[in-house]
Amino acid sequence: MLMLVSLASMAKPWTAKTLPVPKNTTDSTLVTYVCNPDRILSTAEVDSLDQIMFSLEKTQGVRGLVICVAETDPDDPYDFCIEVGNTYGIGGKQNTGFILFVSTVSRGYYILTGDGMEKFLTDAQCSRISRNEMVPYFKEEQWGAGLLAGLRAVQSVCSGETELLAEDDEANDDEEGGNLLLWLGGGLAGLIGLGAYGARKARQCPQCKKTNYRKVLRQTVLVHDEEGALDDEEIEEQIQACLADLKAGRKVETKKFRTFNPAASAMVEGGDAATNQIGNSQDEANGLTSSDEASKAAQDKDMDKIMKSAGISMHSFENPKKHKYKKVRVIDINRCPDCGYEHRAESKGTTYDYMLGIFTSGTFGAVYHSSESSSSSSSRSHRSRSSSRSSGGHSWGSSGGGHFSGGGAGGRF
Amino acid sequence: MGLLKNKWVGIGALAIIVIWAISTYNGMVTEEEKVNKAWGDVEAAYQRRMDLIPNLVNIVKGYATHEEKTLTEVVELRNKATQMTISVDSLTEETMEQYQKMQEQLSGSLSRLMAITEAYPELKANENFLQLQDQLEGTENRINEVRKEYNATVQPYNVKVRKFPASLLSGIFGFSTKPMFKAQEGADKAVEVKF
Repeated sequence: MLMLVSLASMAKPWTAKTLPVPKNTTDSTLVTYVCNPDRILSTAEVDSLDQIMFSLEKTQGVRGLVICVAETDPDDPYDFCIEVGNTYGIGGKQNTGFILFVSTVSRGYYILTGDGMEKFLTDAQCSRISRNEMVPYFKEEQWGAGLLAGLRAVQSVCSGETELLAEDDEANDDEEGGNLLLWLGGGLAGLIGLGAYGARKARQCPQCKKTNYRKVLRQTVLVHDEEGALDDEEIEEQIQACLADLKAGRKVETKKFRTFNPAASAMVEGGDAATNQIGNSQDEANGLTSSDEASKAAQDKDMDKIMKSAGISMHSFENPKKHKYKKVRVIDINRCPDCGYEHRAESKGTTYDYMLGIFTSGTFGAVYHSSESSSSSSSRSHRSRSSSRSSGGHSWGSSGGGHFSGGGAGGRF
Repeated sequence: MGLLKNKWVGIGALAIIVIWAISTYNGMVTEEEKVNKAWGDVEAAYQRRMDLIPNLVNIVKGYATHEEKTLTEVVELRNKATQMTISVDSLTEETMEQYQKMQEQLSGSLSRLMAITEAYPELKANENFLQLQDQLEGTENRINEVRKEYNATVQPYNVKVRKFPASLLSGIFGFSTKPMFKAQEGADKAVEVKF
């Protein structure tokens, strides 16, 4: 007898955090609803309790917990139970949880109901059950019998209720997504606004401020051919010829001077024969015979050699002066139809033109092949521990689980 | 892109301010609704207690025949408390203080009543009385929990409303800080055993 007493008093008080609440498990042989860390209840008692709890979960969706300990901290049964209930989320999202509690040394007992259980297991019923069914046994120190009697009473109350296996809580939509959307929408609107503004500005005539100003012609003009530099009159002639074509609705010849890479000109579709001839005449002088050779050479990876032999470099597109045979300029003619204001600007070519040059020369074509995207093996995603009612494992609801607001009844015996 | 005239920079800044204002306002509305719900729960919990009191009074009356004074006091305070309800919009420091004081008076009266019942063993053996006593205790527990949760929702709301740029908006749109429950003076539990 003395030994028993000293053993009991040696048990440390359990707090909500230290209490070994049974974990989720889907193995039906390991499922338990009883927390018996001080080994006060016998295995047989635990089994009987488990059976009833299990059937409660299966048939009514009620997930309960039975706690039998020697001492608790906080000492008050209600305070302890509510801490445990809310810490571990007993009862899951539907809040159909309850805790049957007895502390043998502190002599406290409680039946605590979760938020969703309060309608079915009212405070009055908890009061009746705990006082009349459980306390008489507890006074005789028959812990297991008391808990069992109480649990049976709870079961009979619950089995009368058909509503228990009820609705799932609706998931609350997160409002935070809305804010992000608002900012993105605003940003997008801002960008569009800026774009519209820029476009409008570009079309504004400097003289008459109306917005019909636009580029009428972008023309590559030859300023220096193989015979020598063209003087201003001849350049102007070219421009006027193009403008006349434009006015008359004829197609403006632009391809003539577009590319001056003799090797590449063979690759440009419809490359002007005149251009090729001009190129070829020099090619022959350098040993490259026909445009076929040139095209082969063009496909040769080492374009630089050929280009160097032809006396041009990649950069000559940008800087016409380096080209021996032909120098070109790209001229943009902008005109405002309202006031007749006209402006010519030397365009250095656009990025597109530069890229076109690169592509047609073939040198860097290989660079732009898309590298084969290697499909990396995706890491195996960890299967999150899921709680499922069907498999027979019980769940306390890991995050956002059950909530207790103080229902139930209990006291000291 | 061309040169940005002041007009467009101004419009862009205005757009940013408007978007910020919208999202801040929405945030305040969300928090306020949480506070409203929590307050509703508080009132429901107090109401529960008030619903229990008539039954309690009836049962005690049957046994404690000479305790008229205490019984009537409880009934009167209970009726006064039932009439005092605060809607969420009119929650200010003063109304909250009044409300809390009212409920505390009722608690005090109830504990005096429960103290009296200690002297009547037959009453204490009455099943209905025992149930009521447990229910009352449960209600007190519920009230405590619900007050804690209310305070927990008010605190982030108050922070949101008082933070600097947002405080300009709250003035315009009428979001005021809400009061919290203060700890009761005296003992925690309403039911005391006194001899």
